[in-house]
Amino acid sequence: MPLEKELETYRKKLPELKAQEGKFVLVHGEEIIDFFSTYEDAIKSGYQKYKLEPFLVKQVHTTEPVFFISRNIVPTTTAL
Amino acid sequence: MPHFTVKISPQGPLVDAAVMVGDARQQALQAAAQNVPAPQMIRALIDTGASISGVDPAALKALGLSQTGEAEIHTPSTKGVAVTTPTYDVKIAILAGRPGDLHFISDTIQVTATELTPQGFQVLIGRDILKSCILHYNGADEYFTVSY
Repeated sequence: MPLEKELETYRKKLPELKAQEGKFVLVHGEEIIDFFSTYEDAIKSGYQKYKLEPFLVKQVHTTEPVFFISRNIVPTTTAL
Repeated sequence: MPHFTVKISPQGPLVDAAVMVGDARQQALQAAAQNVPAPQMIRALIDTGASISGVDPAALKALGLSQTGEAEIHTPSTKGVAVTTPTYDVKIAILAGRPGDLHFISDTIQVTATELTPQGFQVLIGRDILKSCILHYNGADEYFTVSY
């Protein structure tokens, strides 16, 4: 599964990230790399540092937010 | 404020749009001597009921994107249980008005992959994009205006 390692790193380290609530974290492998105020800045840093290698950008939330789409669509649950 | 006005179609507030790789990914592709995929010209529905924008997987595949995140999503199809979906980084441009006119271009945003083509469009423009816009929906006169 793509980003398996990065997602595991994020979940494992989440309790330590409370002070960064709302910021966007860049994760590569087993490392938390940095925090950013915007999604675009985090993505930009990811591509600059890791080029086309896998990296994760996630907004830090101690309680995971849920997005809503009221239209009856089926979200894709596996990577492309 | 720049704006565009479009007639409401029977399917709702539809616009011509383009989905493309973001600037940072474009630079990474060029640095790796890889081709930058051409923007995907698609139809998009403006949907205030979507808190995150979605793009049909075929358009995302054509852009050669890799997953860069994940999100929890509720839709009527998930029957009350949020599902985890991969997310991808893209830019979306709205091409509305006269042929060739380019209007709104989003920042690089996080989108979900969502089967939309059977509904007659390939992108849902959600409130994550609309949060920087003013949407005026005039159902009586059958047009809508987006200022940004």
